[in-house]
Amino acid sequence: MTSPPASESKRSKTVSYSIQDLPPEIVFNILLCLPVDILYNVTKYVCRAWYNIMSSPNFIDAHRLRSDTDGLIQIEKQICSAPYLKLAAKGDKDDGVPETTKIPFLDCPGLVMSSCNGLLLYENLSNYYIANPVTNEIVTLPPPPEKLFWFTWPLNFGYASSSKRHKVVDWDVDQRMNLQYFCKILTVGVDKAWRCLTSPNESLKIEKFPPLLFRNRVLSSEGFLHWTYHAFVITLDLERETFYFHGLPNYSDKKNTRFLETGRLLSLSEFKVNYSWEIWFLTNVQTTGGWTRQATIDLGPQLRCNLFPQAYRIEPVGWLKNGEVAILHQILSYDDKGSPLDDDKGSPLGNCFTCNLKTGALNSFRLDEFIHCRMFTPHVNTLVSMKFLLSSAAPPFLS
Amino acid sequence: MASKGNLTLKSCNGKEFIVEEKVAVMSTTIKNMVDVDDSFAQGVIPIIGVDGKILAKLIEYCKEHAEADEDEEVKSEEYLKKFDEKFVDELNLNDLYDLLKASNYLEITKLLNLLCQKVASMIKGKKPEEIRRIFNIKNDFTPEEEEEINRQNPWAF
Repeated sequence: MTSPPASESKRSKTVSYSIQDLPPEIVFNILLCLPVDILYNVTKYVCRAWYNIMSSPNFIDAHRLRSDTDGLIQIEKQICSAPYLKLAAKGDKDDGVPETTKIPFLDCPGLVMSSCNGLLLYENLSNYYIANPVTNEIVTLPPPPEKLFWFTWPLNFGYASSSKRHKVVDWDVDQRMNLQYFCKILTVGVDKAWRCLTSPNESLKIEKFPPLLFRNRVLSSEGFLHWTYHAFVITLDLERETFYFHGLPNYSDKKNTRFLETGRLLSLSEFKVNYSWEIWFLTNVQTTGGWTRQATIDLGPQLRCNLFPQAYRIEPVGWLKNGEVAILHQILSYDDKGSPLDDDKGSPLGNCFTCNLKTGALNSFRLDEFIHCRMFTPHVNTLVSMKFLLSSAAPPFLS
Repeated sequence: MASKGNLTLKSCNGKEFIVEEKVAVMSTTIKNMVDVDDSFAQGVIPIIGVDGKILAKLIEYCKEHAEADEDEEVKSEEYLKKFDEKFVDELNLNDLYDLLKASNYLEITKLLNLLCQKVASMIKGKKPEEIRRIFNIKNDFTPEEEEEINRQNPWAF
């Protein structure tokens, strides 16, 4: 229980007292209500007390936890020009129309690979970096071990919340050992070099991994990384560094499925008929049957007939607000490699729309820069600082 | 003495308010007191450091929300939203501070969040100097510190 407020009865009514007379925990809560741009550009200049509150690890963590993933960043784009899609305005019932901006970032080369807690993992000339685009801080990761195999496997990172550590994970193939796949992991701020994880083959009792498993982008959710295949998912628990295997919920046709990141969880959408999808979230990684059926998105006849008459295909391509708002994209045709070709420029309604699972609200919008819409990853702006990322002091419960 | 189901709250300047228990236990602090010691439920609960004016405001807020929690149909979400807006709009800065302190002490989380949002909305769109003026804050950075902070790049969105 907090201490009772001091009696104000003797205070003169004409003298206005200051916000600085309030207990610091109240100021903490007030600052928590503000978005990152105001915190970083305005309130940190106000006074020392405010600066200290918002620089503290507790505040940064609390602010990170209450921030919804407010946007999607396009991966495999130059970090200084990667398009960033976010909801423009949040009305009462309206989610707002998404707009594209660029992540403001210092002018350095490198391709965005992933986002976690507001930090971007990017690669330049085979070196890996983690940066916070808000604070413009960058750290260089220890050099990755030389690849045994020519193919560059996609790499990702995530956050182990108990130990408060970010971990980067990579894969390689040992050709000498009968093409055995193995996982390399690096705990940021702790490991000086990459560590090898025991091959998951034994614990998962899978004889051979389909090579395609490692060509798909690694997807991340809170505390986990997922390698997805059309029939199953292999999940790495970043805290325990153990693997889990998940089949898919009962499907009639497993080819009409797609895995996406919501920011918190892994989602699976299955195309049904008539522009409707069943949505599942992997809510419980550590048990079998961890999928929870979340919703059915049904665009209904009015949309099918009137809004996108020529649509060859509409599919979910991403999530905003931690899985509350689905983004769907219409594709008219594909090129030889299966990449979507240019969309229907003539449609007055745009080529994408958002669908809110809670309210059912639909908003259409045009997205010109996102031809390859599937290369999105959820991103949220935070104040997470490299100072804490690299802090050598072990978190209290580990010491 | 309050009748059954009612509690008596006493402000620091001696004003007594008889309120329904469901209204009073919107405050986690009062709820804990009543849960732990039955005698509070019979007698008078002193609310230390909160004067009659502020306590009346707190009770007004809790009453609306306790009734809404009980029967959603009578007080819709929309009604509550309008009530909340009007409630914070009518406060002057000193009352806002006093209510913040009181709701923090009494752990009325919903109200505390509402008040924090209100202050945050007053900060939005202002420059640091304006914020200092509105909230009567002294700039206590040394020139060296100010220079150091200014050296950090602003974030242009």
